[in-house]
Amino acid sequence: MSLLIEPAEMAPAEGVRLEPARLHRKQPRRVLRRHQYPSRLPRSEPAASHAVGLTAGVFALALVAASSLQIMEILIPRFPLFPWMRLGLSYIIILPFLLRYGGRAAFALLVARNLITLLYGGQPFSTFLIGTGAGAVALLSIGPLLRAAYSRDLLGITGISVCLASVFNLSQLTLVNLALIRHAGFFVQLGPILAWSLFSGVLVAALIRLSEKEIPAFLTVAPKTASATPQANPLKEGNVWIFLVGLMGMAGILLVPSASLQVTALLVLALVSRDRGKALLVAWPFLFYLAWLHLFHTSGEYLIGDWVTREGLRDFVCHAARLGNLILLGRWVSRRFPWQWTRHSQSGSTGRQSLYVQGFLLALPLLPNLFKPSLELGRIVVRKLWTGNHTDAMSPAFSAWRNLLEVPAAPSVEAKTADVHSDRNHL
Amino acid sequence: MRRFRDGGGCLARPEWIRFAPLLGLAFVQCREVVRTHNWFAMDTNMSVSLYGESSLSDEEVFARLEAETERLGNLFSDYSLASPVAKMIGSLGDTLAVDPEIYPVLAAALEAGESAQGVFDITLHDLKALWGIGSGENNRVPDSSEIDSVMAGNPVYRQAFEGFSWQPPLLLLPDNRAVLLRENCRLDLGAIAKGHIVDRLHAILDSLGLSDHIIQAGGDIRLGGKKSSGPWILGIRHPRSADSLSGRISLSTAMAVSTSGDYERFFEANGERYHHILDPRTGRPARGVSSVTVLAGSGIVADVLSTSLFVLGPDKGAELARRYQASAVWFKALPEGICAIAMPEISDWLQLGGVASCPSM
Amino acid sequence: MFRPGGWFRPMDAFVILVAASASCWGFLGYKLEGDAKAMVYLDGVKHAVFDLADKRHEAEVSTHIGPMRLEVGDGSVRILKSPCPNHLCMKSGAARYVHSEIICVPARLLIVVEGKGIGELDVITY
Repeated sequence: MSLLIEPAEMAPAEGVRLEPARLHRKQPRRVLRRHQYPSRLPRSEPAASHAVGLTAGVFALALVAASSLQIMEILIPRFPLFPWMRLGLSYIIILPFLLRYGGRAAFALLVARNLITLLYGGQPFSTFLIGTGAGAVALLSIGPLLRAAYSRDLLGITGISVCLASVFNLSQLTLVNLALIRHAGFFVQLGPILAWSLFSGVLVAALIRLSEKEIPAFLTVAPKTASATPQANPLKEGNVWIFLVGLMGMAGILLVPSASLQVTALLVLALVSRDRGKALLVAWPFLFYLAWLHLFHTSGEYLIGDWVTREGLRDFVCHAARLGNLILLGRWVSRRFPWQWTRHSQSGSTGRQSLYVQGFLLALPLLPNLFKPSLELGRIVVRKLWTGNHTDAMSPAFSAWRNLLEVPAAPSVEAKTADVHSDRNHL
Repeated sequence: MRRFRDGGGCLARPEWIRFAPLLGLAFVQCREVVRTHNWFAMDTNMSVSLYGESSLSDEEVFARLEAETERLGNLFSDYSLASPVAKMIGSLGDTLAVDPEIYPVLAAALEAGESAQGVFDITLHDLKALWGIGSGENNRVPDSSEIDSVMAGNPVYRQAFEGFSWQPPLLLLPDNRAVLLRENCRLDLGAIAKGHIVDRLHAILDSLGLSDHIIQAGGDIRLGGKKSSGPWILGIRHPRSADSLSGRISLSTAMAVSTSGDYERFFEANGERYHHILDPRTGRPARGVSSVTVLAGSGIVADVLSTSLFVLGPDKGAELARRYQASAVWFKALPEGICAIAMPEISDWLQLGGVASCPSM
Repeated sequence: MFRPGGWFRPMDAFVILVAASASCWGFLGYKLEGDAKAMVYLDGVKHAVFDLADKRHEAEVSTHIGPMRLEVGDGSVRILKSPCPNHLCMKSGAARYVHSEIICVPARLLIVVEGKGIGELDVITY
């Protein structure tokens, strides 16, 4: 069935900018055969900083959905030694977003999503950088190609999803190795990661198909009540200099190859940190396994049996301590992110705040309250899929996300956001 | 505690544990299990590779082989004065009891000496000491007079010089006894003992049911049984660069292979290379050939022949090899590179990796 | 946004095939270590290991007669400096092929190139 046309009953809201594109025009619901379908999407990319037809409201909606889907993944247990084994559920939104609005818009969505996890998920800054870097490769480099291939009817959603997952995972693998691990053997994970990309890519494509009724309207019709002018930035400013010093510290940690310096830094950071470095214990199975390569696969004189060499132990200590330092310092740095940057970010010619920032700020107040409902939604989706009710498994989630933006935010949200930032004086 | 390389195979020594942190790659890592064990004996490196399985654990097998090597090493050593070989010294005409294990080796050595007309000699101990071969620290080029005086004290050399036929240094009597035909002459079984040892280890492994194996003692190799995945492939070391090969031998039947080369133990003086293979006829390092590789039916024959063929060179050497049903390939170092001379018998198995045949001799 | 038949185009099968074969290649073809490593034995006991796929570098191995300097990497290993009296092990040059050895008798040291090498030799006679 064709779903290129948004449901007729969903009328555009007052005050929401409507895109002029023909896809958005009201059309009678009908099934189109392939040859009737215009084989090309509008190809003229606007010179403006954002994609044709994209509004802040839609961006906010997509961001809420993508973040919520990412939270849903928590329901799926992560295997400690396979941290890259994630489904990438948020691509249910990001992929159609890429097809509709292009690579830059999709990348903006990904960055916004990563900023959200940085802010609320307690993610270290290094993880943010690597995730964003890999996303840049996947969405900015091959994203436009995939979009063009789709518009020319060369690739289907399944192929695009597999491509995106593979490229994202491969770039992440390369970035992690370049930045953190620096061991040639790291690429032994190539096979499993590609196999996993294939699996998760196909799964995400299947989930997109389950959502084919909802997505087109979801990504084109802005929420009714949401204002095109976002509220004031709820985020407090951070001291740019302190943030930059933190970043330089992270760069130093990345560059210094000395085990003793790294261990000293780790001890200092663990002592200064609020939880005395307990975060490291939690992170151990997810991150430190990476350093094991050095422990078992480094040339040198044997120290323990014929398993561990002296050099291997040294490299292991160095890299494990470095990972620990990045986690501890990265957490400190993420808390000091100068959010005023988002406020100051403006689209060049008009001098107005960029649409992405508007959307980001629109979605931001909702996110602290997103955690519980997302998990609940995830349970509903899983239950529906489990009972064989495939056709509208995803629909409650889509209406919930839209409702979240259409119903005015609860007053508690402000307090919650302020809460997050009252912590910033602690590490 | 002594550890063995790859002992026990894939499951007993779970290599894959190291991979588990990354991904259970175990199945990729379990390949054909060859267990190799190295140890030092007889002033050289010994190594045994096992292809099959037996009721004994690899550790027990390797320990047994090591013990046997040590025992035989002590038996044949000419440096330890307590060894039975070192004790076989006395006046002309003395009758000595010979250790029953040494007896057959002595017999083979004397027979080889006979066949090679003295080119294979087990009485080179004093000459080697003069050149400092074996001791490592006193390498020097002796004066001609010194060489002559050592050789003059040895009637065998003198006779050889004067054109007499070769005389054995001792006469073996049937009941594990020998009559000395030489006054105060120390024996040196270094050129035959390793060949005997690989034969012994080969027999032990066969008796343990581990018939598929490779035994290596320095330059002496004994193959056993067969390899499941095709013929044995042996590389022949390039006589002038250790990191390349001068040829390959592929063998579908288990044989013994031995190589003698002027690169094993040598020193350079006055721009000349002095190596450890002495020509008993001159008392000086044998000239003309850089290395020779011999294929024979047993380790002892291969070992004896590699030394003899090195000294004799390709012309007379081929004749001697044929008498033992062995085959050989010689390599010579020329200024423009090395060249090879192969007996027709070896050409079926031999592949020369870019090494030309020597210009006609 | 979505078009009929847009879920799976023939090229998608090709994409999936490429991803699957790349994955198989990654599983089977990519090794954690290089093809060959130099295993250093002291008195028959594994003492040190060097991956010959590493970049060429110098390394030191301690033996009972003193430290020995090796040059390893880029596919070969050799002894640069040895405390042994006549330096035969230094003269013997570099070892490159699987099964080739460098022996230093005074230090009771043996360096063997182990692994799956060119031509898959079973043994080297020298």
